[in-house]
Amino acid sequence: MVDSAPAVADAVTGKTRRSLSTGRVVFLVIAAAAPLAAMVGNVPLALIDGNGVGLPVAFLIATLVLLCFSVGYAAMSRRVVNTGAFYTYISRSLGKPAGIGSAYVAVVAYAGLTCGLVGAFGYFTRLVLLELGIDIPWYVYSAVAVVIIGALGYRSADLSAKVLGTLMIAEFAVLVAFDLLVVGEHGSNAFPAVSFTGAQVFSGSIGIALMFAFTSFVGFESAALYGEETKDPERSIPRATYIAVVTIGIFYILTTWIIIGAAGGTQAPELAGQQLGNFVFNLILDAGGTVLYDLAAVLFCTSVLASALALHNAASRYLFALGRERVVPAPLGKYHPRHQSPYIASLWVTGLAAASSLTMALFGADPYTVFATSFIGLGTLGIIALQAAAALAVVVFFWRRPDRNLWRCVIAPFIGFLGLATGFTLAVTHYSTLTGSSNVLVDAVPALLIVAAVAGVVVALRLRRREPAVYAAIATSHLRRRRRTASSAAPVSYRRRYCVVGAGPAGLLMARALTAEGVPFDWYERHSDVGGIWDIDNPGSPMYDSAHFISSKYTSGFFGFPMPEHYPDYPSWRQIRDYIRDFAVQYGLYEKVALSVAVTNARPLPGDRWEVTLSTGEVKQYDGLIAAPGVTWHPNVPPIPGAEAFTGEIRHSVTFHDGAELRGKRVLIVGGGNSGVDIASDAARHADAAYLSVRRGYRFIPKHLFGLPTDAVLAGIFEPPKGVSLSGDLNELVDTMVGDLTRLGLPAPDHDVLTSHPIMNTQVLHHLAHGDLIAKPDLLRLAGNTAVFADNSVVDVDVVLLATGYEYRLPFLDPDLLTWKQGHPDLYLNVFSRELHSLYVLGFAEFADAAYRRFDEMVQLVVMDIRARETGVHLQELRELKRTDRPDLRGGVTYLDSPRHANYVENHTYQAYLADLRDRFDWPDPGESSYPMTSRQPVLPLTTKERP
Amino acid sequence: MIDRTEAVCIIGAGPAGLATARALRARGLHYDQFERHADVGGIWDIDAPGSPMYEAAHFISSKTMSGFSGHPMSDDFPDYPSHRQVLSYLRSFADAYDLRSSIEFGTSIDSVTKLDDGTWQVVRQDGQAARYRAVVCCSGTQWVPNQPQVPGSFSGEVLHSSEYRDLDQIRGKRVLVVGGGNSACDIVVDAGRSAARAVISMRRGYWFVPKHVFGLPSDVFADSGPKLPTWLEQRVFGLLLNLLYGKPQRLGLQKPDHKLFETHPVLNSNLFLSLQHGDVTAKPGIITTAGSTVTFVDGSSEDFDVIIYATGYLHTIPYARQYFPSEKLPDLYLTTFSREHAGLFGVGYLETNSGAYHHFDASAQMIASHLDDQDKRPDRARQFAALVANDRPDLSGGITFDKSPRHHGYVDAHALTKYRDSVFTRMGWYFREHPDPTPDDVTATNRVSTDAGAGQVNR
Repeated sequence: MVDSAPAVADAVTGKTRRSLSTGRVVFLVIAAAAPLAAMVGNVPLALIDGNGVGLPVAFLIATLVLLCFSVGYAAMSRRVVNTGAFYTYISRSLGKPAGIGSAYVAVVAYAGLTCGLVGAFGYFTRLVLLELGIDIPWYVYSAVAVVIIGALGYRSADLSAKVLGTLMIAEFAVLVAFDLLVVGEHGSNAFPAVSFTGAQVFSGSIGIALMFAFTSFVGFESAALYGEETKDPERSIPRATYIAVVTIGIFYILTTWIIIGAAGGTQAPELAGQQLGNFVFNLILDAGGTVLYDLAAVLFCTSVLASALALHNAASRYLFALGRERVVPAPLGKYHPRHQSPYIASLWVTGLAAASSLTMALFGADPYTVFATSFIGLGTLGIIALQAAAALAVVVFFWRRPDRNLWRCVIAPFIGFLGLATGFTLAVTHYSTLTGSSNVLVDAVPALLIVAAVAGVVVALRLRRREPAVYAAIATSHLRRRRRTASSAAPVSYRRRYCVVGAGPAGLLMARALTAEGVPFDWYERHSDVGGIWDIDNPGSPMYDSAHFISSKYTSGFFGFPMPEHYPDYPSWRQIRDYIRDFAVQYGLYEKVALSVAVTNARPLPGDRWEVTLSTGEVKQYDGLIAAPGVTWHPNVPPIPGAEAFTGEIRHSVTFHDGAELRGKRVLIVGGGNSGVDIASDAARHADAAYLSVRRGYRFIPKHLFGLPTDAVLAGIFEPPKGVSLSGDLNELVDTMVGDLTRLGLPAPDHDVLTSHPIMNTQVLHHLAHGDLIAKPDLLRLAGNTAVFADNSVVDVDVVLLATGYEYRLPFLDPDLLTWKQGHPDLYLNVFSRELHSLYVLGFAEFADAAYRRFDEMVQLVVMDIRARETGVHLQELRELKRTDRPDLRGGVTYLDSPRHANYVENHTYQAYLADLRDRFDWPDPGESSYPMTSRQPVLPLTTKERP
Repeated sequence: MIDRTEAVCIIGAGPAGLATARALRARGLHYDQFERHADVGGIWDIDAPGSPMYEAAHFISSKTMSGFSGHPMSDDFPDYPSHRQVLSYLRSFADAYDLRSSIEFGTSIDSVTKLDDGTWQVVRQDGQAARYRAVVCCSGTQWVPNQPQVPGSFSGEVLHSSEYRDLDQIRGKRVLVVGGGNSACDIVVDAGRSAARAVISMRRGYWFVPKHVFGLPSDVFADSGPKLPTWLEQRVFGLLLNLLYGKPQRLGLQKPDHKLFETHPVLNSNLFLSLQHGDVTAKPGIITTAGSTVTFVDGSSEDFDVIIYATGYLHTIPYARQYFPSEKLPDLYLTTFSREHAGLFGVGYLETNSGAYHHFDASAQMIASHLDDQDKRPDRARQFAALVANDRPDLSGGITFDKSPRHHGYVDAHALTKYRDSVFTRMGWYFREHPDPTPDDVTATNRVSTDAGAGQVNR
C-alpha cells in the first residue's frame, strides 16, 4: 500500500538510472582526486614542510590507513543497504542529527572544492596560456570552466565519467611517461633507498607530510555517492573504492619517490623550496623535454577542471539526496526525466561556482592565494572530517554485533578512523601550511564547516519535532539479508507443542513457518474453511460484495507466493479468498488444520503451559498459545444520541453484504474508512439517497497513479512514465492528483498521508462528483427519521449504516491476562505478551502497508521465541526485551488521536526495528525465498461471482 | 385544414424544442409546439416510453459548462448532474420562460408535407391537419435503436441499451455489453456492480476521457488552458491522457486506432476503475455465437445470459422521411437549415465534440432571426436563403473525423462556432444571451459569441 518518502526514493532508483559500471565509477572518483594536480601542488610543499625525502612513506601510510577505512566501508555496505552515502551510515550509527550535520558538511565541502578548483583552473590556465602570449583575465577561464561543468553536470554521470576517464588516462599517461623517463635516465637512482630510512621518514614533520598525503586522496570516497546510478552497487561501489585507493596510492608512492630521485634524492627539499609550483614541471621538462612539459601543463589544467567536475557531481548528488529527504528544499531532490541526473541540484552547485568566481573577480581577489586556497582548504578539511566520521560510524555499527569479523568490522575501520582523525587534527592545526596562505580571511573560512554541521543538526532536530513523518524517513536504510544465519544452523528437535487459533491469513502464515521449523502444533479454525474474513460465508465476516484489496496484487502477496498474474490490479475479495485457499493447498496446510473446531477457552497453567478447551468439549494442554483471531469480528458501535427514538434502521457495516440491500432506501453511512467509502459507493448506486458522514478531513489516495497501481509505483515496481519524476512529498502528489476535496463537500485533509490509515479509493470521489452521494460532516444525533449533522443540516434517512470499525478482542482469553490500553492489548512488538512467556498474538497491528509481509515478519518473531524456549539460546535476552523494551514504533509520527490509530505503527520504523532484532539474534530476513515450495500447481481458474 | 400560416410548428419539447420555443417567443414569433409525451424533457424523462435513459446516466459535460444561456444549472448540482437533475433543470427552464402553456402534450406528429405555396402541412396522429409557415423538427436523435444482427445463433436474451433501465435487470446474470460509447461504458460498469460477470466487447480501440483531471471536471480543466491548434491539442491531450491514466492496452482494451477527438469522446472514469479492479473484463469484437457461447475475435469464448447492444441510434425523422430519407445525420446548413426545403429546420441534429445545448440555442436563434428577417427584412432573408443553398463551409476544424456512420456529418464545435459567429456578423444578427433583452442589452449582447458556454460535451 502506501509507502512513505523513502519508497518514493526507491522509485527514483528506477532501472534506467543505473548506467554506471565499476570502471566508470573508478574514473569518477580518481578524477575527483586529481592525481596530477595533487602531485604538482602538494609534493613540493610536503617536501619542504613535511618529512622531506621520507615523503613516499607518508603516502604509504595514508594508503594503508585509507585501505583500512575501505575495508570497514565495504563490510558496512555489505550489511546496510543505503540510498544515500556516508551520511546514511552516520545516521544509523551516530544518530540522525549527526547524519544530517555530516551531510551538510559534505555539501559545503564538495561545493567549496568545486568553487576553489574553478578558481584554480582560471589561475593556472591563464599562466599556461600566458606563455603563448595570450593574456586573458583568469575569470574568463573560470567562466569557461563553469559552463563546461554546468553542461556536463546537468547530464548523466555516465557522460561525465566518459569525459573524466579520458582526461584521467591522459593525466596518468603523462606522469607514467615521466616516471619511465626518469627511471630510464637515472636507473636505480630514481628510487633512492634513503626515502625509506628511519632517519629520513621521521625527519622534519611526518605529520604535515601525512596531512598532504590525505589531502591528495580527497575525492576517493565519493564512490558511495554513485550507488544509485551504478548497475550493481553492492559489488561495484566497494570494489571501485578499493581500486581507487590502491591505484592512487601506488601511483602516489611511486611518483613521489621518483620525483625525489629525479631531483637528486636528499637535495629534493631544497630544490622544491626554490622552485615551488614549478618544481615538478621543471623535472618533467628535464626528463621529457618541451613536448612532455607542454602536455603536462595542459593536462594539469584539465586535471583541475576534471576534479572540479567530479566534485561538482559529488556536491550535487549530496544535495539531491538531501532534497529527497526534505532536509533541504524538495526541488533539489528531483532528477531529470531524460538524463536521469540530479539536474536542479547540479544547477545550484554550478550557480554557486559561478557566483563565487564572480564575487572574487569583482573584489579583485587573487584567484589562487585567496580564492582557490581558501575554498579548497575548506573542502579538504570537511571531506577528511566526513571520512573520519564514516569510519567511526562503521566501528560503532559493528561494535555490539556478536557475529562481526573483528578485523574487517572493527580493527580496520578503527585504524582508518584513527588515521583520518589524526589527519584532520593535523590539517586543522597546520591549516595555514595547508593553504599556503597567511591571509586571516582564508584561515577563518573553515568556521563555515562548523556552521554547516550545527545547521544540519538544528534542521534535523527541528524536523523531529515538527515533521516527525519526514524525520522518521530520513536516511532510511535497511539491513541486508545475510547468508549465514541461525535458520541454516542445525535443525532443532522440538518437544514443546503449540496451539494455533485461527486460519485466516496470519494463522496460515504461522502454520507455514511452524511447519518449516518443525515445531509440533495443533491448529483450530472455528469456520469450515480457511481464509478468515475473506470468506463471506464465514458467519460474522465483515466482507461485502464490492470489497477489493486496497493494496495491489504487486505488493500484497505472501512471501514466496505471488498473486496470479491474471488477477486485476486490485483483486476482489473472491480472488483473495481463492488465493489464500490456494496458498493453503500449495503448502499442504489443509492437512494440518482442524476445521469447524473453535477454541472456547484458554487458561494459562504454571510452567508457561496452557489449558485449551475446544468446542468439541475436549480439553488439551499445550506449551504455548498462538492467537491469530483476526481484528475485524467485533463491531465497534459508538453511541449516537437519539438512536433509541430513531424510526429507521441502525446497522453496523459488518451486517452489510451487498448493495442490493440498500435498494429503495435512503442511507446514511457513518465513517470514512475504507469500508465506509466502499459501502457509500455501493449506496450511491443502489440506494434512493446516499449520505456519507465523516468526522475528519481524510486524504483519499487514488488507487492508480499514471494508470499504474499507486503502491507499486511508489515501491518502484513500476517506473513512472518518462518525463515524470516523483517528488519526495507524497502529500503534494496526492493532493495534485485528487484535487480540492472541499469542492465535493468533504473537509480538507487534516493530516499527512502517513499519519492515518490511508483511504485508498477513487470511486467514492467519483460518486460525490456525480451527486449520487452527498458528503456530510459529523453526525450529531438522530431524531425520528432524520439525521442531524454538525453543520445543523438535516436529512431524512431510512438506514444508518455504521462503518465505524471493529474492536480488538481475544474472546477465548480472560482479558485480565493482558494489559489493555485504548482497546488494544499491550504487546511487545505487537506480538508478544509482556506477562506470559508463552502467549503470542498475531495480526494485532495496523500498517499503512501490505499487511501480509509484515505478518510473515511477526510470525518469524514467534518462531524465534519458540526456538529460544526450546534451546535456551537468547532466551533470557528475549524475556528481558519483552519485559522492558518499549520502542517507539511510531517513528516519531503522531498518529491521529483516534482509537483506531492507537495501535498504528510506522512501517519503516517497525521494519527497521525487527531487522535489528533479527540481526542481533542471527535470523534471516523473511523474503520471497524463505519458504521454498517444490512446485506450484496452477491457480484455481477465476470463477464468475456465485450468487444466491 | 387549420390555417396557422402566421405561425411556426415546433415538433418536440426536449432540450432542442424548448430552446427553439424560447428563441421564437423572444422575437415575438408565433408558434405551436407539439410533444407526444406528457411533459417536457425529451430523452431525459426516464418515464417517457422509449426513452433511452437508464438510472446510472449522468451528464457527460459538467454543470459549469452546460446549461442554456441565461439559465445556468443550479449551484447545488454536482459536477456532473444525474439524469433526474438534468430533467428537473429542463423543467425549470420551461417554467422560467413559461413555455409549457404553449405546448400541446400527448400529441405526436404523423407527417409534414411541403405545400405548393411554400407553406407546410402538419398532420397530427389524430388526423387533424394544419398549415404553418415553417416547421422546426426538434424530435431528437436517440429514439430509434441501431441494433445490429447478432452473428450466429445466440440463445440468451438480447437487449438494446435503450431497453436497459437499472442494474436489477441484470443482477446475477452473465452480461456482455457490446459497444464503446458512453452508454456501453455506463452499463457495463453497472453490470460490474450487480451482474455475475461483466464483459464489454469493442471492435476497436477508443479514447477514454476521464471525468475529472486533477479534481476538476475535465471540460473545465480543458477550457482553463489556451486554445491550441487542433493538431497540437490532439497530441497534447492524447499525451496527457496516456500519462495520467495509462495506456488502455494495460487493461485489456485495444489501442485507439485514431487520434484523439477523431471520434466522439467517451467521457468515463468508471470503466477504467472497473477494469482495474477486475469487475469488468474487456474483449474485442464478436465473431459468432452459438447457444449461450459468444466467440470473440481473439479466439476466446465465454457463456453469457444477456447481450446488451449499446450501439447507438439511427437518425431518422419518421414524420419527415421524404425530406430526410437517410438514417444518417441529415445535411443541414450550420446543422439547422434544410438545404432544399425552405421553411424546414432542425434543431438538435448535430454530432459534435462539445456541449450541445448552446448549439441548440444558437440554432434556435438563427431560425428566429431568419424568420424575423422574412417578416421585416426580406432582402436579408433572401441573402441568407442563398447561403443555405450554396454555402458549404468546412466545419471539421482540421480534424479528420472517423469514417464510421456515427461520425457522418460530425462537426468540430470550435469550427462550427467560429463560422456561425461569422454568419451572425454577416447577417447583422445578434445572439441573445438574455431571454428578454432590453434595447440596451441588444447592443451589449451583439458582441457575445454564439459560443456562450463552449467546450461542453453533452450526451
